[in-house]
Amino acid sequence: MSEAILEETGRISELPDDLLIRILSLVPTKDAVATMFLSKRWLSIWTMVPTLEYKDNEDEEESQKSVWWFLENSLKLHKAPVIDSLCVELGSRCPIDVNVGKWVENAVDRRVLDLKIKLVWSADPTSLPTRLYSCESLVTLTLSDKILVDFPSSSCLTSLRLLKLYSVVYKDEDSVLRFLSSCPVLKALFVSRENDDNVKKFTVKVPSLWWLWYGKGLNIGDVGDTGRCLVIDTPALVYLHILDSSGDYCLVNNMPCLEEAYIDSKAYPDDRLLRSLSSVLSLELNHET
Amino acid sequence: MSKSEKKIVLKSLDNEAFEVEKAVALQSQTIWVMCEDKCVGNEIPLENVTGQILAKVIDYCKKHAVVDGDGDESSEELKNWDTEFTKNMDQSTLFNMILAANYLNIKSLLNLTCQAVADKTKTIDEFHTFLNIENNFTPEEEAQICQENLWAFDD
Repeated sequence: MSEAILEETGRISELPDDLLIRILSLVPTKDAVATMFLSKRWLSIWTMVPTLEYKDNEDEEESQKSVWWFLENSLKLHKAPVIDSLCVELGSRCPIDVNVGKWVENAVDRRVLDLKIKLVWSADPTSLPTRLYSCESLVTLTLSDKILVDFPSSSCLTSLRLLKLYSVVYKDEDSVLRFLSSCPVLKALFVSRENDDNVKKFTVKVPSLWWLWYGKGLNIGDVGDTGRCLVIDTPALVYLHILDSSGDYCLVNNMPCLEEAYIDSKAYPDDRLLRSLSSVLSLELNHET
Repeated sequence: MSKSEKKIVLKSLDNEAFEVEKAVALQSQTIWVMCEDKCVGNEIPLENVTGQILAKVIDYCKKHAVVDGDGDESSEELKNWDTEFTKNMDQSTLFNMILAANYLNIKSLLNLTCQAVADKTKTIDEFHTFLNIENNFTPEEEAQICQENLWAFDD
């Protein structure tokens, strides 16, 4: 290697593989894959890149093919023993019978750290493989849209620190409760909910949680007391952000560490909620009727 | 960090000596370990980095050592400085900076220089020209690889 440094005209392509892989992990996956056509040496370098991103672009013309085929063909050849990050976003052009779960399991097998799955296709919400929910390596997880969250009873995400659940559907209330209470080191939780997500009482019971962002839109067609509510039991919480136009009732347990709270809710904040906010340094309350 | 020595001397492969503040030099994990382990006097020999490259690395470390303590409003300025820093580097300089950042184990500089290469190679043609890669496939091999990997051309 020192010879190469001494040379006046060092060439990037003479860098050792690990540094080329580092560079390729910074370019779009499509471009990284295309480097296989550069030369013999480059034929397989891309297969070791640990960050992969496959996104259908919904703004493109209808005639454009879904990224699915590219995903499947490239992942078949991909060989990195560890996946740092896998992002899959499938849009309306993706066939609905494809097996996303297979590649989720593949990523779990390769000790994925950061996983994002977003399905905005026309199929019904689909379950992901149960093994995802006991992936020990997973640090950040984003599940979005047409995903049915069915958290198995004996699973645990021992390393998960950041969880984002955007507009998914849950199998039932227990699935939410089990999921969130099976993340022993979870620090940050982002939830945005749709009305028809099978959950009336949404319980966030996470002793380790510092940061909670919760959003829910208008309830449509509900009259009177619906029994819908949000229960927050997070004794270590430092930051709370609630943007809730649904009118759901909100039950909050004491949060002695809370420093900052922003609450914009249709439901009137009751005494108990206000009491639990007593330690905050910065508070913004908006109440719309 | 020992409080007796505030400055250390970094010596390049071609025997150029640079006296720098310890706080500046210790952004390199490699130098940190050397200081802890076997610091002979306060001169650290860096056998893998030329003086020309080391001078640039030190510029980077000086800038980052100063601004890191200054608070949030400087982060934008620092970003701009980083962009300017790599903007006009030719391939050979970037190549040696990447090797130096890797050897000295300065993660942020390694990320910055790798990103600079990534930014210059957005298309396969740019890869060919900027990275100056010689295509050593025979026409038959190339045709076969293209044929086997038609999926990679899908748009």
